[in-house]
Amino acid sequence: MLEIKNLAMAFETERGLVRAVNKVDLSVAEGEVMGIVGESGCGKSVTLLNILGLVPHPGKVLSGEIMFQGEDLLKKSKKEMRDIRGKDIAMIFQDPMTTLNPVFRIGEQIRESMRIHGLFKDVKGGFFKSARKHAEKDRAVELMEEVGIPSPETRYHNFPHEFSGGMQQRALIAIGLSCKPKLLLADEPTTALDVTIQAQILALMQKINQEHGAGIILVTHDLGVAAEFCHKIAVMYAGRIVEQGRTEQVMDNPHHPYTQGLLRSIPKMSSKKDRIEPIPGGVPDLAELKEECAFYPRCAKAHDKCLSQEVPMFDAGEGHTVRCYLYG
Amino acid sequence: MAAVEKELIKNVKPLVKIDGIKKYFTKKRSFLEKKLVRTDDIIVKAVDDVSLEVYPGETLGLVGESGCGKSTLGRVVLRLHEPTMGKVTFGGDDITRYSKQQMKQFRSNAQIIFQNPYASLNPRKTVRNILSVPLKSQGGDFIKREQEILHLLDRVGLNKRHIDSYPHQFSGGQRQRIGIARALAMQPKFIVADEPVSALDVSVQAQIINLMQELQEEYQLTYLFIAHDLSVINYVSDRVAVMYLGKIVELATTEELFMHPLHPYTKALLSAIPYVDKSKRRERILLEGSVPSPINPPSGCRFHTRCYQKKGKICSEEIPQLKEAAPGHMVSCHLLD
Repeated sequence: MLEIKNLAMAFETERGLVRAVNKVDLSVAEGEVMGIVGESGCGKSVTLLNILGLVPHPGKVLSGEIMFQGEDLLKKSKKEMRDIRGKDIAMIFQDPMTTLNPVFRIGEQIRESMRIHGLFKDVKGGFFKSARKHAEKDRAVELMEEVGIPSPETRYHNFPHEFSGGMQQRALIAIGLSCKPKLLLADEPTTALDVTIQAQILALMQKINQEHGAGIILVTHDLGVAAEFCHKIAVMYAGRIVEQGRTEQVMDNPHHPYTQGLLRSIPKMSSKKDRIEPIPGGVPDLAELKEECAFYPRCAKAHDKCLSQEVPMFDAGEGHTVRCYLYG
Repeated sequence: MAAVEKELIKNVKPLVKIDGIKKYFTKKRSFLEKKLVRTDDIIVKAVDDVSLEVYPGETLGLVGESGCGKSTLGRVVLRLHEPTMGKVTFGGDDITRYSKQQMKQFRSNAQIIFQNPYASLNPRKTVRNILSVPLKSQGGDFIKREQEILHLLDRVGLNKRHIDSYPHQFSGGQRQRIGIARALAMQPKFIVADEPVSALDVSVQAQIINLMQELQEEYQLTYLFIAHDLSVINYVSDRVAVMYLGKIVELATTEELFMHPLHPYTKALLSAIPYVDKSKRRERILLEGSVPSPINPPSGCRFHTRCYQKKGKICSEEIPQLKEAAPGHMVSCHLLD
């Protein structure tokens, strides 16, 4: 349904081009949950923003195409993108507190995208188009009920500050679902929430995926969340996808040294004996990246070949791809 | 480790003893509000009657969801907040009665590492400035201090050329190392670590956790380790206390707590952790709703509004006491009566 081919984008800064996303290939089929994992600054959120054409000012797309239902989103005009955003592709952001507008009631914010996309424009009649408003309101209340907001009739009139963090996130999901999107982009939807609330929200998103058949791209830094929730996983490092495959392939049998390192640095829950092994060093500065493997300085298995040229994606079998010479 | 731990509990006196601590924050209503709206002052019961003991050399993990009062408790222990009621003893002395002079002495024994390494370092001071403040209070001349700073930097894994850098020149993990060096400079016995790794990326988080454990072995430090991440708590702690809405609901050794949780809240909390490893996943207990406000906490057991094993009336009427359910395993729940 969505296919990103060879996407590269950069931010123009005083220090030169900062390549935030570099040669990214991704595809999401209908009803599929794709996870993008990586540490902060690896380009996972920017990739999502690119799909919606929401990359902020100094950023620009260098190459590639984003095919959605057979059309290239990068070639669309601003107006055409506006029609797609919130209707065919909806997004759920990380921090519900800053995403919701504090001066409008929750119900109105859920209705907003229905109004903009003219979901009920055929409904006519009534004073001040009241019939349409009623139709929108009914749908909003229905949505609030579906995402598990208790007593939606009264909550419809509440302001965001009257909601708890988990409830705000539910309201955001209701907004995202309002126009029955075919693709839902979720940027760290549970990071700001507590574990018990996180479990509730993930269960809700799973339900949405199964009942509506919407494809989901989930961006997260929590490997546990990705492993439990996603069908496919892409691991990003310094703007590139370093490993991609089905969840079992990537999590049970990680190939890239970075993925292996990430999995080893999560504290194990049972036996205390095995110490966690951190990856030495830190994430590289994106402005100083060259074509060679960005993980080279931190990699235990690095050799001269890694520095010589750009590392291509290698096939490790059954659709499992790795950007590392160890598998070339 | 657990066997040693049990021996310790029998024979050794606690280093820090928290005794019936309550911390209430009040928001005073104005005169007009009182007259017109007829409301009383708003009281937030952040910590409500908590008793804990921390033994020398151990790491006591304190875990709970946001707003449960765990950070407040950590600060009360160091008297960064004055407790509303109760006392904290350090090595047998009641620190809540200490004078200013005595507090200074106490501060060299007990230090804190803060959560956000971006906010807890002064952006206008170099690493040298930041680290020399605690060293100056200990006396000693310039050369000795300089040596000590270099030694500290080396110990926490920073390079000596970093000595004249400003905080913004460091990454998050490196800043947290500076924060740790600053706490270490006083040569403390006891450190409150308030979510020291939750602002860091996974790979860096592991570096900091390992550093803190090395330092603990080297200097025989005692930690009160506050975190919301259960896998981190499991990894670092010898014993774990679970907090919910200002109260301790369960306290046990780490293995005991993670293998045999008894309180319904702990069970739900543990079941909610997402695992990479499929074999470890438990059947998920989904709690309804979210944590109630500490302004008007539920009567009786504070968890009864979300509890899926509610016994009956007693849960909403009587406050359960923290009782020993198994040796060294304390639980406050009516189900176990």
